[in-house]
Amino acid sequence: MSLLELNDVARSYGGVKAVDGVSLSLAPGEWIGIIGPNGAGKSTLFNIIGGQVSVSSGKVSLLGRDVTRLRPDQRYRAGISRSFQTSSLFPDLTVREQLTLACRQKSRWSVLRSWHSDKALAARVDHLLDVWNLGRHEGSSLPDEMSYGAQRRLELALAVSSEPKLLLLDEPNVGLTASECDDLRARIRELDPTTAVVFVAHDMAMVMGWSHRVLVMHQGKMVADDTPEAIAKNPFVEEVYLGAQ
Amino acid sequence: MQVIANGLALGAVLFLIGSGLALLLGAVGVLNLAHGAVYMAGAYVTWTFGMLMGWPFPLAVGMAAVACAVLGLVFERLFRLVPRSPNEQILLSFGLIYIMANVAQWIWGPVAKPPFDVSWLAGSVQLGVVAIPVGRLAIAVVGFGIAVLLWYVQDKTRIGAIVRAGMDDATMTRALGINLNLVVVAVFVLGSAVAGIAGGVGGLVLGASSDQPMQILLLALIVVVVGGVGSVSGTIVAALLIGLLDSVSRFLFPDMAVVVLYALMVAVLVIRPTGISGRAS
Amino acid sequence: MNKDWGRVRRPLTIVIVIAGGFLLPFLLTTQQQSLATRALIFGMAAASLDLAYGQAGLYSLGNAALFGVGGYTVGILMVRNGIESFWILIAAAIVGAALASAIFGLIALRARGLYFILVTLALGQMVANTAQQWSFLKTSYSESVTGIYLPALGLGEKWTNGTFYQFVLVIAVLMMVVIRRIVTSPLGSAIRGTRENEVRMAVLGYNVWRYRLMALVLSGTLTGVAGALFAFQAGLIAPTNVGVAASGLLALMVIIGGSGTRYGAFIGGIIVTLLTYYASQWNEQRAPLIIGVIFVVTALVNRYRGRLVEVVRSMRHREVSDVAA
Repeated sequence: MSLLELNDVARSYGGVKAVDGVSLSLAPGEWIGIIGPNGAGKSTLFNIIGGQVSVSSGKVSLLGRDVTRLRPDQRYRAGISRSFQTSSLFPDLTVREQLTLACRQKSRWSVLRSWHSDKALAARVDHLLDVWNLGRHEGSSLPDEMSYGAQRRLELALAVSSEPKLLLLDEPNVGLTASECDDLRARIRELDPTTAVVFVAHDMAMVMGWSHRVLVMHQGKMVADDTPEAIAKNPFVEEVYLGAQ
Repeated sequence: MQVIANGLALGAVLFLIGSGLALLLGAVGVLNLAHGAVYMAGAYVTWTFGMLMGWPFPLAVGMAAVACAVLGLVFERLFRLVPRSPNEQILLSFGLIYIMANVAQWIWGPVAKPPFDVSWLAGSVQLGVVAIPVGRLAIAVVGFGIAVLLWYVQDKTRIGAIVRAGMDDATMTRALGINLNLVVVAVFVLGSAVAGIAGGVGGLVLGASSDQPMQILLLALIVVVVGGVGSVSGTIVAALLIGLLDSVSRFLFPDMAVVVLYALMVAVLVIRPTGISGRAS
Repeated sequence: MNKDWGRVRRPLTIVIVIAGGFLLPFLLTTQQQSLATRALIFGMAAASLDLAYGQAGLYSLGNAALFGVGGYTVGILMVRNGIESFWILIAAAIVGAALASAIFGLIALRARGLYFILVTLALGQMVANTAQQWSFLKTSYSESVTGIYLPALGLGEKWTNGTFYQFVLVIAVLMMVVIRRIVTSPLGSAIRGTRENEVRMAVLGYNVWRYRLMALVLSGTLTGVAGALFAFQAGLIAPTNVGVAASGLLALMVIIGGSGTRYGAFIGGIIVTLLTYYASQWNEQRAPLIIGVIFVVTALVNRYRGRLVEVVRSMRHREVSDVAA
């Protein structure tokens, strides 16, 4: 069974069709990159899957279950998690506190239990700190005391903390060097192999290197859905990009 | 009926107050709880010039408008000096309310001034079978006039377009080279002047008292919640609705009249939280 | 040695302050004891408001309504039904305030952002107006509930101003412990999360609305307890204790003391109570003017508060890194 299915999903703003009848099917463990010129509707489609934006029509299903009407926090429970293009962190919480908040929703909590006593939770946070190279000592820092790269790593650590079935990454490579980008890919690869990844990006080299499949959007519609190699050779895609530039 | 006339008059006053508050909230994002105090200032100034010094009533109201416009300028400066968070705005607004209410008591004494007695606005006018008090009519006319003026400005003029643009996307508006700061000043000044006129004209029915900052604020609040901050028409509809509702319920069940208004607000919140004009904040 | 001192320093200070508080009545006149009790009560009210205000970022200007629910509950039960037991009365106040806060929150949370503030203002005043009009809530010619007296603990005690002060102090300490427990708990950090980044919290699986409602209910319930104590102390409860002015004053206490800080709101409550008292002693007519000026000046000075917060933060970090290293 497919992990994620979009059935003729559309979203209009007034008279403007941001997303115009997009359908797609995603298998567990697949990595899909969405590309397209600015204004093509990538972000809107992304936000539709994540639940930040509602659909005007169409259906979104996760593992056969209709999630179209679910709020973001309900989608989390269904297994969808996302990162943001501009890091969406908590300005006044330390790194450790933020990760604890993120990890806590996975396990049951009791209101009066102070978080120092939950050993398992602390261990998971430590693990995340290690994996994402945030360092034990950085656990006490506030976001604006960290480097940009560290902030991005925290952003992603927050996103993967729930061990999601579907991971949405919004331009994950923004502001990262090529080697940092490769690092990122390696870390995400280390997750559960059945985790599917959908990401939006503008860097063609990255998209080619990361994806099993590439989706191209143009003016709200999906105009191509193929392997990276095929897409690279697709003259229509070239036209769409060059034409928009 | 008398009751309807009262309602319309109250509605007019509410519109004048509510629009100032709504504009500040919606266009500028400032929570000025002291707006009701501006109304009070308008009422007292009008009383001073009109009743005490015997000036012609329209002139007295004009003085109120000027005085309150100046007050608006002062407020704008103060709000600009203060960090732009709700905390400081609440502190500042409340402080101003305390100060102004007390100064009013100091200058004009603790006893409230009764509804203004203007000779040529006394008595009633026959419209068919109905006798409408002239005073109420005058209020309604002034309110209507200003409503039309404001609607015209919002919809048809450049300034109105700028304000609406600023409401939608302040950064972009600034990027287009438009001096949003000047617009903020204008909103403060205009909103306060209108509140001053409301105070003066409303004084025919409500008099002037140092309780007014809070009382009027509350009524204005309900207008803003019910009407939304998106458009002048929303505020007009809400103000008229509330004015009529208040008047009618005072007539029918004087004891619980106030609760009716709040119940309306609660109902609007439950059904349509963004108010009649429906603009999401 | 230094590290140990650092860790012990804060709790030690608190113990000393509380002990001092207990001994205070011996230094004060009866009148001053009353004032001190009043100050404690409003400290509690402000601290409980801060649960919603500072922690959840919900700027409620209607908490005096919940204060009033607590006060009116004990007042009516005592005066109309003759109930004297402190325990029954306070339990009733808690239940009443909890229910009222839930309803309050359900309605108010329909509004977002600055609208929320307006709605809480109006709702608070609505409750006050009801108190003014509903004859069930009036026991005398003035529109209030009078004739409330200090309740019985069942221990055979005889109340004086001094002993009641100490009793209130005990409750205040308890309440601060409870509030602190909530704030440092997972619930507390989730509530803070909803204030800091609502979108992220939702994406992390938290039902933001639910946490906000919880914050409001917790805050309102504790405020109700303070209101009950107020009724005992003042002997009456009136619509003015419930309305916009009272709510505004509560918020001002929180803001001046420092919202979202450990004890800031509590201290703010004490300061404002003392301020208003002494201002009206000095010049009753002009007291509101003085208070108003103080508020305006505080607001203007607050632009430098940011820098002060930085300094405090860096001090806090030294503490944290001391502990972690």
